[in-house]
Amino acid sequence: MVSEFRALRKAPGGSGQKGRVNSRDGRAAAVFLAPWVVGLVVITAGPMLMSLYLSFTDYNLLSNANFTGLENIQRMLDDDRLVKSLTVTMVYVFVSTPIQLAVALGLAVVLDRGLRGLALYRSIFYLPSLLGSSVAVAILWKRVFGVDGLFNQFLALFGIDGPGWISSPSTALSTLILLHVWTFGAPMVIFLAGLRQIPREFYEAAAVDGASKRQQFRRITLPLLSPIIFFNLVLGIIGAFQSFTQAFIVSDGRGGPSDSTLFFTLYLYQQGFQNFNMGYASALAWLLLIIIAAFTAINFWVSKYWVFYDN
Amino acid sequence: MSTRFSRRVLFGGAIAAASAVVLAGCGVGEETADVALSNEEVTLRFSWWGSDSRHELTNQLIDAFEKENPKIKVKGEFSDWVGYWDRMATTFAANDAPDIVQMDELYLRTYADRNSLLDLGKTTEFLNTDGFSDVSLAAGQAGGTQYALPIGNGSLSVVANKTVLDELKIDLPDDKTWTWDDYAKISAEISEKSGGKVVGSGIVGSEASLISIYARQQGGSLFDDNGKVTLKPEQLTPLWQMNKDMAGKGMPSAEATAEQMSAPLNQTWLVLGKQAFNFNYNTQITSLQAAAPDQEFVLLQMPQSAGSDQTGFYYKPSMYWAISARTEHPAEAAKFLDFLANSETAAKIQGTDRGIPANEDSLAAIRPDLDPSSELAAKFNDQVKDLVQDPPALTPAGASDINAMIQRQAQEVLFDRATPEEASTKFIEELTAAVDAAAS
Repeated sequence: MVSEFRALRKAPGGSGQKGRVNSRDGRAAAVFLAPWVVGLVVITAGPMLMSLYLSFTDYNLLSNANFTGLENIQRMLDDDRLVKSLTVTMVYVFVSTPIQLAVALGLAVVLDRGLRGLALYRSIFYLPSLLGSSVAVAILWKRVFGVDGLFNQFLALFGIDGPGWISSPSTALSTLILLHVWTFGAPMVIFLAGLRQIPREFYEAAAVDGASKRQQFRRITLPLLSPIIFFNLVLGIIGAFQSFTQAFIVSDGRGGPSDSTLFFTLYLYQQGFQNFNMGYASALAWLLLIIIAAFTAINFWVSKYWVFYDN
Repeated sequence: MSTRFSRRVLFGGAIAAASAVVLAGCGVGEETADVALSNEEVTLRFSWWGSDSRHELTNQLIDAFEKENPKIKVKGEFSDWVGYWDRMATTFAANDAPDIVQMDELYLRTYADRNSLLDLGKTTEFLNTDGFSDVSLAAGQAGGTQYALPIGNGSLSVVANKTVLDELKIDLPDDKTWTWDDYAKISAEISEKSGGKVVGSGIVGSEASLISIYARQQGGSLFDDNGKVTLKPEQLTPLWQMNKDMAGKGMPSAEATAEQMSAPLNQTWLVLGKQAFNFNYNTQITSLQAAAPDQEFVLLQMPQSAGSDQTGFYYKPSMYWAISARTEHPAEAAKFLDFLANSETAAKIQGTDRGIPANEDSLAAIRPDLDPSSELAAKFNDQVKDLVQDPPALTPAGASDINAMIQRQAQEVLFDRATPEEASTKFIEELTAAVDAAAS
């Protein structure tokens, strides 16, 4: 993305001809850009600005919004459920994302060994990524991990009397983490593509020098794949922060039992659409944006120390 | 340099323009249109929540109305409970509300207090309310204005699975005199006698109307008429103490109870024959019975509090009809509402799908044809007639989510994360904060 962007900026003319933009080209560019600009303004930027404004009001969906200054921020400071929802979300993001990436990377390495029927396996492993955030799978999940669900019936074969995984506050979040890990297919496919980019000669040379498979993985695969890992990590964390469907379906929009699956987005939805506190919900949305931006910035900063760009 | 600058200005202007459009979209709209019939063909939008069988019946209602009123077309929109309120919130916010809506007590003041519902007093020319008792009508008023018309009347009851009790050779309790202690004792006895195959009771106090009845028995109330929270922790704690004492002994385990809170009807333990008592509105017996044809359900009165002369019972409108304040066709909407609420044709099509009709003429018209379980429900309403007291104050704006708040704290108790005292105090705090936030 970034390099494309640079290329675009450098392209014709560059710095020398700033003042003399060919007017016909300029118009053509404007026409081609128009759909994107309109989309940005109407669908993204407009509503975003609107929500920024609303986050300083008491808008309740039905009456006019009154400007209330920093009242919503004040309210965040002593909102216990906000703290609870942030905790739940953090645990979800920082447990499920690394596990998911580890599984994806592991399987990608195995598949990259040139298995027969690779295309088939790849498709099968990718399938959950397509389904994972769907309503149907969330409903299925609820059934599988219920008190009388499939999973407990399976455990019963071994004489284990399993709890209601989704209805117990100590295990409900874990089942959602498992559901997220299960959708490892998307990062896996990206890892596979990355693995293909690593020249085989490196491995051959290493093998000649007597490096074991593990050493090859640590010294060749990981460093050369680190930009891809970084890419998946950034996207994974951002995506996990925004998870909503699974918790909504599994807990019927409540975030229960006992708020143990109260994702931040779910709490935001409850405030906005169930309690009619759209002003507060808008403020929460901006808080989420700031949190995600902060973690992404940290991620980029830390990446300087471990991501290896081969150029 | 200059082109770039001006483009940026343009861009900023475009954003400002777009957001101005959005801003304009969410203001409160113009005043209600004149209440007079139009000369042209009019299309009304009508929305309700419910099950498939209700959708079918309601479509028949629409057809019957259109046949009588060829110049008025009615377009139905329906969804399930959760989706319904999301849609209501967004369509009202977007100034795109349906003309006639099915309304619930939980949300009535939320919409009425914010001038989103039409004052039905303005439509008396087209809407007759003679069939309704004053008490019934009062249940649809906020601040003296009639914002909604009750559809059906129900009263909270204990639904008992008689088949299960017979198998265990346990007599039906005497519900005229039973207290909460009796209720707990019998529930435990059922669990014990069945060897754990059947439990006595479902969760107690997981829903506002039960808590309201219990508080009224203690001389308190959930809310007052000004929409302030008046519940005291000690008027709730004993209910949640029962859950704590009875989990696994008389009630399902904590996990199973939590799961039952959101189980669909045909998976509830009562229907599956694994539970003897459950708190339901008397009118729900029809759907319970339909879901479990091989079980026999009967209706019992709610337990009373020992030493109290207050039953706390009340008739609660099953749901309401209301008209959007911003409808362009108030007269036609009122005419349709009049048909729904008063016409004998409508009463016969609808039966008891939306509860035992609050309109006494409608009830008389359908009474002879009631199916056995609906007749049980109607009889129950008659039975408690002398025991019911004035209805409690309407749920104020901000408290529409009260049942979720209750269940959250009830679960804290079930899972030993809070004592009943802590949980009820916390619940009242949360409820008060939500109501105050909405009132400011």
